[in-house]
Amino acid sequence: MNSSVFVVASLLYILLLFLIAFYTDGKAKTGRSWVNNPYIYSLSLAVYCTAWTFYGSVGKAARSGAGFLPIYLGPTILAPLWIIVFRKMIVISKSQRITSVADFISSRYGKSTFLGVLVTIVAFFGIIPYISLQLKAIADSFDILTTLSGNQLALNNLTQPLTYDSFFYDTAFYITIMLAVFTILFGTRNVDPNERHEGLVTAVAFESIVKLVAFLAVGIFVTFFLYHGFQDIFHQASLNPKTSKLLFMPENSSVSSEWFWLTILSMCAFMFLPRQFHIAVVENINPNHILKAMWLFPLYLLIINIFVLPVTLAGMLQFEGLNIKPDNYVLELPLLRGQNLLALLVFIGGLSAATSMVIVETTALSIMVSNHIVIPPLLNNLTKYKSDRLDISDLVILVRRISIVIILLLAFAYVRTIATNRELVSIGLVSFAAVTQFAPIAIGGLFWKGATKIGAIAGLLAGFFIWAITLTLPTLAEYGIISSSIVEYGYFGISWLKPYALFGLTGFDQISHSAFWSLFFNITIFVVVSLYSNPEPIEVAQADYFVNIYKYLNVGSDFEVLKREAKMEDLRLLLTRFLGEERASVLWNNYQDVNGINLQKVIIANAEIIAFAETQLAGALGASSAKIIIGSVVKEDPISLNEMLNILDQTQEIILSNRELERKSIELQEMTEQLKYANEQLKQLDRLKADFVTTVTHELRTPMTSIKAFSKILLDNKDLPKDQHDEFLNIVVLETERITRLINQVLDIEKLQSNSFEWKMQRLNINELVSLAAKGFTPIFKEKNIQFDLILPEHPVTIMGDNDRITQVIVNLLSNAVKFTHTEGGGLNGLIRLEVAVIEDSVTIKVSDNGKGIPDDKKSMIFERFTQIDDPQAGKPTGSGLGLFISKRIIEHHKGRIYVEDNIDSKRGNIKNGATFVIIFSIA
Amino acid sequence: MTGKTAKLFALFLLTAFLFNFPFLNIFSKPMMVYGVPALMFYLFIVWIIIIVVIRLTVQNVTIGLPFVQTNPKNKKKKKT
Repeated sequence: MNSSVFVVASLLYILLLFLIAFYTDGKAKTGRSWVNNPYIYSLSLAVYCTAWTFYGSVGKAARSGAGFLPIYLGPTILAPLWIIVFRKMIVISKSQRITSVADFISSRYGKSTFLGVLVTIVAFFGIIPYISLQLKAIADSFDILTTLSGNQLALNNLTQPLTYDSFFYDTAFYITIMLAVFTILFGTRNVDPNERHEGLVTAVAFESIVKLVAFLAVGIFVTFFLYHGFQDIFHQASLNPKTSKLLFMPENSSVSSEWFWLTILSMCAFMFLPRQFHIAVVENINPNHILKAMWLFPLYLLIINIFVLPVTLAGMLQFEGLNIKPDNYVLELPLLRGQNLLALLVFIGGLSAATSMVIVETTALSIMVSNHIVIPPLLNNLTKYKSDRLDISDLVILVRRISIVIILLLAFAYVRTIATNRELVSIGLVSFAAVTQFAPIAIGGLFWKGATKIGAIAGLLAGFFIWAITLTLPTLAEYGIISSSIVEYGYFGISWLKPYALFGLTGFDQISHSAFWSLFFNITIFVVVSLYSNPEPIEVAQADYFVNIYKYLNVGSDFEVLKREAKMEDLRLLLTRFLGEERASVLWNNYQDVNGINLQKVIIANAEIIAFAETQLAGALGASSAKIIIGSVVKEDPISLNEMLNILDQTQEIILSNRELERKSIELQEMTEQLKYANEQLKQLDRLKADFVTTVTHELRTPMTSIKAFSKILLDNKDLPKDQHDEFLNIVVLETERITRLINQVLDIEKLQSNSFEWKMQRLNINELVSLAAKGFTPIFKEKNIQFDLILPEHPVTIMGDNDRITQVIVNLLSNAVKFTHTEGGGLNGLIRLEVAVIEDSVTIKVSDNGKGIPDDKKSMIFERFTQIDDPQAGKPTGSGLGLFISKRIIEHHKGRIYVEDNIDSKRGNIKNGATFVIIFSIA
Repeated sequence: MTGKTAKLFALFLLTAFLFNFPFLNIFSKPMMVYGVPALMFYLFIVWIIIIVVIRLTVQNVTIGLPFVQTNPKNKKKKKT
């Protein structure tokens, strides 16, 4: 295949990236952000999948079967924790304007300049091989596509060694340059206090789609066109002794330890690789995007890994006996069948995987290098000359651009000299092991307030040192750069200092071995030194901020722990010089708007304004540089550790009192609710009273009307027949009695309420009293056809009480029962039972009827004043609504209880429905 | 730790066990399930289940946006 096709294709592809990034940046300027959605965020996280994934997974699988998977299972295992870890990192980073993983660690440990430098150096040395891996993959793919194609493959590949000095490597070089240009344009557009690059993120998300599609295409081609599906490949592979052993993991300790350590490394790398931190934390716009990414990203990983093993097996079966590196199977398989277009797609996919990583990683690294290594030493000089009109933001951008070029050139040099024959995965894992050293101090710093700067420095140095002597130096030795005897005989000829068997530890692969020892020393030293060292005041403040970030978020910036002041003029000058005039004035205006302060009138800036300025500078230059810059114009009251701790305690107290306030206001709200409820009840009562008055008046008027009418008839018609005359008189008497009864009841209530009731307490025989009261009802029962059962105990029962009053209660209950019992339909339908029973030392009087019963919602109200049970069939209630109220008062005066219950179909009786009123007295 | 985070933390622990030895030993045998090596079958099935469980767990969660750090007192001032 003509090599120029691939050159043109790759140029066009990168041009497309330029267009996407350029277009998105334009959109972002007009305020319509594409990046502000969870799908772009999830896709951009897939920058995790590099050429390593695209080409290297197959290479790894060819050696160890499922052994390529832990790298993707690690982030999947971690995924449920994103909402805890990433959320916290994002919230902290946004509020402190943190721009890189170095900045994050340095900020946590008192904005330490030294830690920033250290992290940057570890990242720099750790990542260069990783970037070179990408360039190597691009170069290799060029080499394969342009020298070999189709059927020539077998011949050429046996005889022709790879030509590393060829034009194709020069092409890779040009690609490197183009990547540098892209990164410079879109990764260092300006010194932005948010350090966000929407064009870059969109381009990366786009590349994630391209590499996924390309890999799926080759996977589908191999699985379903070269073979007849998964089963076919696996079946064929199981027949070949070389491939069959890849289907199952051999059971031995080295496999399981490698698997375990790779999941650990990939978890750490996923969080703390500079590019991952940059995409996941710095470029994050909305922490809610994490929620989608938590499952979308593992899904992406799953999909891109489905075809890895089938492609590997197919490659091994197809190229058996040929000297073809498994890393290249993805590309060689389509070529083998003359699928040149598919090969082109695969090539573009690999290019996208490689370029996305290179672009983001170099951007992130360049920010770290400029903010932590280059700028800090210059700061003292830069801030001294205050009259100098040099715009320092230009300088920062320049430094970043130069860093990008240097990083890429170094990576390129690494490919040419060292990485030529190594497997992609083994190069990448060295980088993973390096950034894993950040995990203890970063995660520890996020959740453990006791972690100190000295501890972090010691732990990181130890980890980095072990990493270097167990992975990097031996690699250099293999290439003869340093004496190769160290691998065989150990450092200084000491046998227990062998780089691959430190302290005599064997049975591990190199990566697990290094990861184990480096993490062991890193964590141990970090923890022990932290426990035995004293933090500086600013460390304590930052530690509290990081660990308890959520408590600070609600209270705003009221809690400036450092007592400092500065001339407003100086602060203005600093911001202008480091961020540019335009941006600085925008920031100040925003500050004025949000805080309602006129900064023109401020001469001496307070701690809050200084903190604002420092945060903005930190966004551009990193926290430690910002601290130095601010320090040059700020007068700071020296603060002791104890004072700092006191201030933090006070902060805690204020926050607690805020919570207390919140609690109080909730209580108040509850009380208001209760008052409202009480008020409602009062209103209800008022309404009842009004109703009662209406009822009483009505009740009074009805008998009055009939008395008046009948009296008039009697008066006017003196010659009425005697029986009619008597009947009318009878009615008048009855109606008068009714009025008297009503008035008596109203009077009773008055007496009960004013406690002027006269009680004549004496020993009473309940049996007698009840029988007597019931006797009075006999004519009524007969008249209304009501069956009446009276059940009394065999022995007389005595209580202390007022004879008349208790009789009044019984009569009231009985007349209620008569009123409500079932009387329809004629015959002996109505049923009333009065039962007296002795249970232990109390006597129970029950009055039951078989009427409608009392609705549940009325049960509690029925003993209240003025409550009447409406019976829709009977129309208006006939009672006054006072009987039960009076009864209750009377019973209560006797220290008894009265309540109502539903009739249960008891074994003894057959009374269903209806209500039972129960009175309980104690026996005298 | 709220209920959801506790659940997610538990899921993290479970996943860490399911995706490591000695669990993998159980499936790392010369055995095919639907024509697929048992180990691969196991890993991918567990993978899918975990994705689904995470999806279901975070379904109705929203995270507040604590980015803008304004002073509530001053905000009020501005309104008046």
